[in-house]
Amino acid sequence: MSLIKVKNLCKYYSSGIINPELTKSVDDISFEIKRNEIVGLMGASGSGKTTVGRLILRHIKSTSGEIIFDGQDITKLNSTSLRSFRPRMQMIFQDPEASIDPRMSIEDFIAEPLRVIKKIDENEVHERVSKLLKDVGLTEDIRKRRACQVSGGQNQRAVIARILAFKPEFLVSDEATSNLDVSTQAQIIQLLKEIHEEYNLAILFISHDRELVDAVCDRWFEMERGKIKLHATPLS
Amino acid sequence: MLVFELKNLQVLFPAPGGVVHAVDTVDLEMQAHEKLALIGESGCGKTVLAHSILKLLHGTTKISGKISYMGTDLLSTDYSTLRKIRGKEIGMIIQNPGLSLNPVRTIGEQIAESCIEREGMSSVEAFKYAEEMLKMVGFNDPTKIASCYPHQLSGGMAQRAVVAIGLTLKPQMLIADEPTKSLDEKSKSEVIDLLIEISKDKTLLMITHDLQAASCISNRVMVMYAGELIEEGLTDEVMNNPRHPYTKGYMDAQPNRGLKPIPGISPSLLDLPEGCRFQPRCLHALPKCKTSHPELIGRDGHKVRCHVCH
Repeated sequence: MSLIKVKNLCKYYSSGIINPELTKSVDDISFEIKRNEIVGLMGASGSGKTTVGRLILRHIKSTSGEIIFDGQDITKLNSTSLRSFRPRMQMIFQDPEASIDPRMSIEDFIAEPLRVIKKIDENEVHERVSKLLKDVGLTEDIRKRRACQVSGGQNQRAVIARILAFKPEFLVSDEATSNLDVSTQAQIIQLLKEIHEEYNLAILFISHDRELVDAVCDRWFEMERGKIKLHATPLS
Repeated sequence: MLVFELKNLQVLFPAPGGVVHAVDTVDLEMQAHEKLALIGESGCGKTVLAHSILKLLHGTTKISGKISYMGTDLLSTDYSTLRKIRGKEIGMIIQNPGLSLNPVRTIGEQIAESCIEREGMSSVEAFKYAEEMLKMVGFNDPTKIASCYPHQLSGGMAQRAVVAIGLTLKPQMLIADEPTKSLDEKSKSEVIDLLIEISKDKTLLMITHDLQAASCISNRVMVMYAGELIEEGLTDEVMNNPRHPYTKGYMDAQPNRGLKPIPGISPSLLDLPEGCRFQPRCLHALPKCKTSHPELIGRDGHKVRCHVCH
């Protein structure tokens, strides 16, 4: 059964007051993502990839269309009823250093969802953070450091650890490796594949790198000017 | 003709926990019109090396060794000579256009600035020249682009604008720092084509971790790891027949070669391991790799810093 079903999703922006101009960022797209599936989303800059990711997570409101997450259309939900859905779907951004509050230690950054959303007892938080750090391949000595004191690859691992603290079912990875060099990229991809297996995650993998998408995804589709241009499976 | 030479270059940053060895004993020579790519992972000292050439680093940095351009030693030279060389002899294409462009000035102003300051052009002349430069880097409507602010341009367009700024004073040598970073495939190939075109009669030092860009543009490659050069040779030779275990691992980490990561992380530049710096991550390490530091040696121009390879 599909976890996410997107039907005729549109997002239009209008600019100008006298002669409003309509920009069709996402124009009538439909697709499905099953549980335990990695689906790639390709396209050039400005083709609407990130908008699709943000629409599905309801970071922005769609103009029209349906997004059915686990049987419920989340486009119709108000912000209060959405709160229970938020932890179940998460996003990894392109720039890991910008994703982390510069004043927070890595430990607090990872523990925040445990404290705020999961309301876990403070004694247990330390243990849970240790488990998460281990899951993403970070060592204990990173706890007290800040984002500016660790490398890009380690920051991206910390971001993934925080996301895992939510126990999500669906993850949008928005160019998660395009700021990293190839060897760090390969490490992060390996980590994504591991957590995909371990946590039974569905992933929408947004990237402009065709070879990377081929190597990572079960199937992919390509966008051009807000529309889906083609659906494909990777070349074996 | 030898244009540019680094000898025994060492760049050290004093830090709270000790001294950061950002660049360690790097030797490099560049002939006229040569295209050299310096590759390596983030934090290995590539950008610091580029910035040390034009002395763009912070005042507390300790740079030692020799940086020579056309016989002038840039390390010992006075400020006025250095100013004549910066931009005019050695141009720099700085990385990350999103952050390096001034957000409150138009692209045209940012190109014209150096013409007015350095060439004594009037502002009308300088703006006309700025438009010519924008046309040269492939914009069809230079007048419009010149009046745009950086946030109005896409990543690829901003990168081309930064290339135009680097070329403004017609330098003989260009240093391009990560010119293709975070660009999509189309913009990346456009920037690569542009760099090939503009560097025809120039000496180019390109710093990148993008192996595809390096193989398209350069004819010689140097691989850097933890502040030192570990392999150098002709591009085809190093790309198709890498010898150092790190270079091999780096090549295999590419998506089209199986996306196999190198285990472990690079050593802290504050606390470098004794012996070979790659040894803690190396699968082929010998007992002597832990104790003796290998030299960069080899024949036919393909040099490797590794005990296992020799």
